Amino acid sequence: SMDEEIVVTREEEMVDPEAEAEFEHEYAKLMAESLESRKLERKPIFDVPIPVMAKNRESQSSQETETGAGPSAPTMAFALLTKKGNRQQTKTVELPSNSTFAVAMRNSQQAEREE
Amino acid sequence: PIGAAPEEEAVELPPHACAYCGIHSPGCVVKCLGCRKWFCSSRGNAQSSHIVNHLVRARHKEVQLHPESQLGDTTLECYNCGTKNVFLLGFIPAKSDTVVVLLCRQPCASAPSSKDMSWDISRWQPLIENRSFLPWLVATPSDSEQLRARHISPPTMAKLEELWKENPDANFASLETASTTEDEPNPVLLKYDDPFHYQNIFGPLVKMESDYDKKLKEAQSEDNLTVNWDHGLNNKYWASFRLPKMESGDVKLAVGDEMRLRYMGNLHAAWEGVGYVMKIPDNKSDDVQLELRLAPKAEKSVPTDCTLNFMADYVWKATSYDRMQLAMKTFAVDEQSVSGYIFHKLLGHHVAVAAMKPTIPKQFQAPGLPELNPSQIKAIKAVLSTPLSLIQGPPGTGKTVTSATIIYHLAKTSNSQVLVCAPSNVAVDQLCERIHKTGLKVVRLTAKSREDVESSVGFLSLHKQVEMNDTNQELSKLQELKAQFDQLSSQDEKKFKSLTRMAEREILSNADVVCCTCVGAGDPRLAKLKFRTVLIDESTQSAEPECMIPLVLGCKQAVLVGDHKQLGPVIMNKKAAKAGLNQSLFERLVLLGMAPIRLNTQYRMHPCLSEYPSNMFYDGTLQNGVTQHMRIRREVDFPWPVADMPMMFWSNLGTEEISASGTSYLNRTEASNVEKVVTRFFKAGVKPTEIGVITPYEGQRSYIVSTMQNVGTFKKESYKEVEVASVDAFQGREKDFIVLSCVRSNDNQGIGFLSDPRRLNVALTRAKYGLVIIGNPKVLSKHELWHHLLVHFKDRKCLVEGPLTNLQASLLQFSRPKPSYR
Ligand SMILES: [Zn+2]
Ligand SMILES: [Zn+2]
Ligand SMILES: [Zn+2]
Repeated sequence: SMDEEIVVTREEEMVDPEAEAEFEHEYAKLMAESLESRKLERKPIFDVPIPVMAKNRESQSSQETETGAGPSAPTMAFALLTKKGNRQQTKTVELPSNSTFAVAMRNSQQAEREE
Repeated sequence: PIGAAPEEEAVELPPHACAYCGIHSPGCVVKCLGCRKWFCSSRGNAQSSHIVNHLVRARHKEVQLHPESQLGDTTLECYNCGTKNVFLLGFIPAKSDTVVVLLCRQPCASAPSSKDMSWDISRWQPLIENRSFLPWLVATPSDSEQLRARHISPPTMAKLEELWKENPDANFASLETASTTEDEPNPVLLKYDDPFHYQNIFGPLVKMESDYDKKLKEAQSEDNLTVNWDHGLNNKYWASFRLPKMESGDVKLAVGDEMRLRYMGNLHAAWEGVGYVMKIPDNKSDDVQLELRLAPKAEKSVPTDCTLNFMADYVWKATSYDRMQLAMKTFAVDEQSVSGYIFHKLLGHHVAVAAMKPTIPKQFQAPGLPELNPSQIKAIKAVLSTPLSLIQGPPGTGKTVTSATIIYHLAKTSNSQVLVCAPSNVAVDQLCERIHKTGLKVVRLTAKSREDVESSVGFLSLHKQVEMNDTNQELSKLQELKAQFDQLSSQDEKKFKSLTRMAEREILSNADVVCCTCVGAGDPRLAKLKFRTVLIDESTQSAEPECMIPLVLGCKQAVLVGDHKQLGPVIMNKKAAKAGLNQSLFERLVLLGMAPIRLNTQYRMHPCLSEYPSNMFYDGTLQNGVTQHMRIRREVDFPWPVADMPMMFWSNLGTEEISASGTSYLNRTEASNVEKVVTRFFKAGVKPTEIGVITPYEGQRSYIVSTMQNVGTFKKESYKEVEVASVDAFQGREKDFIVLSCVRSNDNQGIGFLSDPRRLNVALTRAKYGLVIIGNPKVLSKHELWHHLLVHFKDRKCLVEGPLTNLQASLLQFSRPKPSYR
């Protein structure tokens, strides 16, 4: 893409509170329905072993994200566990270093090291 | 068919573009499995991201990521039970490892965890937060991407969702047609939300103009024509004939237009042929000349032995309109089409930019071009350091020289090719010639239909440069063969075409500067090239969408040259014109507050001639680069009322008449006096080519030409060489002496064309050494602008009446002007 430094100012649009309230209502309804429909599902225990992989995935990755929006924030690599058919797969996801998962992970790693 | 343009490529948004806003970075979009449409994670000005907005309004719940996203084409689902309802899904982390997994909130994540479980179910985090997917799963589009996307408001999204319930294939165009049923088009605006908004306003206007043009041109068939034939080498056939309907002035036939000629009589087998217009009616003759395009071996059937019973009609081409529409579309969907700065400027957004670091040349004067004055140097300096600039060039201020010098420096400093455009071929040729003088490598790209039209810069044209090419032996040989036999074997023809295309590409990519008309910039031969730097001359004479054609080829720096105080674009459809299609981009940018850099020194007119235009149209800022003495032709004995002031308003009270066609006007008294003035100039030694006669009406133009022929006492040939034309035809040009015949002279009706201040400005600023205005002061003075002009002439004792041999100062009292002229 073209590298240029520009600042664009745009006029704010007014939000119609009535339409906003209506959307809010639709959203809540959809959420409630979704939960309701699952009430009677049996509760299968989720007990899947953690896939074996190298620890300490933390990286100060500065790789360009898809959006190409300037220097990206520091991230921490996590593995996302998914299923393809019945096969287990892991895929890498870059979580922002300040996301709750990443912060918690760093804290627990720190604690581990101090032990 | 011969000369047919290859298919022009349309730029389309990819199928995975957000159905609301068009954003299409693979990492930022997901596919809704309920309707297979794609949505992005931007919010625009709304509270919810586009994905969430859609899912809620359409009550769809399942999505899939893009194959090229970080996670590939993953369908988001609960690892444990497989539910795909995104409103139920969330992530849980492993207790002591950097692993996460998607689980549904109910029931999988609400089950009590077994004691030694390695997953931390208690830290379940929903996939949708703040009405958006977690940004590390579906990225938020970059600011610049969001700014360039369609700006869609929540009510519009709601409308679109309603429409999709009826028709899943509906798009924004359907939304437009659904909402606008009235037949008045939406007027142009100063600012646009986004390029789609821009396209939604201009698209219908261009369509209206195109439909109107088509209707008008196709209705122009004329029969009972008498044809004179001419036959040249290389099997070229020319047909000359007169088109009586041309006089109406509705149809502007142009060189390069295509016409079909048919034989309707019985002396020859039925025949029809198509050709390009090579000549249009001018002061030499009213003939139209067509060069026929004949298929090989078809020449025998041409009925050259017949002269009567022909019929001609216009072959209408949508090319120019198609290219405007395509340019607007490219502007909307191709983020490489223009830089972010230009993009937002064109839409009227407020953009701040980090100042460019220009390479200011040590020497401003370009090789082969004249020296520059301070205002020209100021303009050049400003242009080199700004990504978008406007240069206003009042009459005679050296606009072409300034443009050519700017192009020289741009080509030298920017290290990229410069694209130079203007709306008309004449203007492009003039500029092209100047640029060539600086020593830059120039290519003039002409439409196929104009390749045979003579031009002073013919040798710079792409097709000539290909012909002259001497590096490719095989191509030269094929060219020779083709010239000799007029035809090649199909295999050779194929080879010839591909070699020609190769040669064209090579010449174009080696050029410093490519020159073509604005519409020509849409030529498929330029499609693969990028032009970072674009200069558009006479930009105030093209409609905005026309200007877009050269700009969307990758422009980062644009220079628009023109003068919004002179005539603007010609729009034939009145509704489209009224809606604002007749406003140029230059003018809109001025209205938006961009100050044009004005060239302030005029080198054309005698100072007495520039005074009124300077005061009326340029805030009195126009300075004279020529003195009175330089603009007096002492040897010319002409009865100017004031010796040092070669100008006069000659009062003529004869009445106007409707011309024979019923659609134009003429004025016999004025025509006869035009002849007297012209004859007097001849007798004083002025050459015919130094005189121009301007009249706004086609009826009067043709009447003056015949009056001079019939009544003129000087050599007939001389009168033929005097150019008689409309104000519009004289724009951008000059003559030593100008005679202006105003024509309109009636008690009650308006003064039509003459009321446009821009037309008056052009008419008054063509003459270098002398101006004679012939008109009815009583009628014209009702009009405020003309009232001022008449007072100006009267105050200077230059308003006269009586016979040319005995002119007297007129003491006529003027009518009271109506307060406004717009
Ligand atoms: Zn959907
Ligand atoms: Zn979107
Ligand atoms: Zn589940």
